[in-house]
Amino acid sequence: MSGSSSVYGGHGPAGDVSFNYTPLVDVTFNLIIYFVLTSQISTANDARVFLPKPNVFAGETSAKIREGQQGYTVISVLSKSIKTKDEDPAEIAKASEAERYEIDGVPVPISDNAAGQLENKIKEKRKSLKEAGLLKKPEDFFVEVRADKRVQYRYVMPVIMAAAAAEVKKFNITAISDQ
Amino acid sequence: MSNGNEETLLPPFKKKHRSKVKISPPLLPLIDVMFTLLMFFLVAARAITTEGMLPSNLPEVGKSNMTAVAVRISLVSDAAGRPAVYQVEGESRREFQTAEQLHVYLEEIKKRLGPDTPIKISPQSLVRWEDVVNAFNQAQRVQFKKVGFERFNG
Repeated sequence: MSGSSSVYGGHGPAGDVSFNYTPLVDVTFNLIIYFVLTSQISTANDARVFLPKPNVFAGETSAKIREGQQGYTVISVLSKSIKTKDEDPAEIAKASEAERYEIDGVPVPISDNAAGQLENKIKEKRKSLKEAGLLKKPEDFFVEVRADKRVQYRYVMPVIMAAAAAEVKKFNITAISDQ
Repeated sequence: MSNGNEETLLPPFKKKHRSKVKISPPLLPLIDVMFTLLMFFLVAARAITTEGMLPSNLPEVGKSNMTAVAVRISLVSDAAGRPAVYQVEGESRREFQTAEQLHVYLEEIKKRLGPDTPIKISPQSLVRWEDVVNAFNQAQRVQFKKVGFERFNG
């Protein structure tokens, strides 16, 4: 009796049966390269913000606006829901509520005084940038608002008011520009 | 005959008949690592989306130069999370269901009144931010020069 048999059975010549890993490795490498090139790592700053997507975007790319620019602050308005698609009315209502603000990743709770707190933080940020020599002209400083598309306007309005009260001249609204 | 300086005669060199052994690196640890990397990217990454910004200028509080508002775009929604309706008040009162319809009407207004016509966006408090951005985007798309936001109107 033969000690081993071919993978096809029968009475083939004795030999080691091994799996050919090379195509598997090739495919896996290709997948890894694809993901490395076409993805961005989720960061705490914008992990839970689903940005609005206008039908024909009329602005400019974030990369172009930020090019050579360090004088800005990012204010996020986060929704209470992290689900993207849900037909449940309770979940839709939950998604329309804001959970908190974040200014450069630092949380600011939703409250009647939120606009005042945001205003102070914007001023602090601008001052620190100016002291660090990163802000050549104060009017170059801008506020970028990254609000979840599902939240109600009443949660975003304090951000606009805070920026205006802090005498910020430029206010940019972030949206998805893919067409 | 031996002369004390004997040379040891070696047998003629023969090619050793080596057995053909297949040498291959151990691929299994490599595959393990690669699958782990793959899983990491699948879980921690998301499809890239090109982000853009809609730039605007803010007036000083209480010093807006939009006193004579020619066109007001009111955004009205009947419930939280529901799409808003765009109501345009200007020369006449018109209502639009979609941002694209609003865009067409704003184009007409621009032709008649010019790009310096002040446009004020006036959303209800419970209107979705997406609808507000859409209205602002349409005004930017038509290239109106003075576009402002109003505090929520109820």
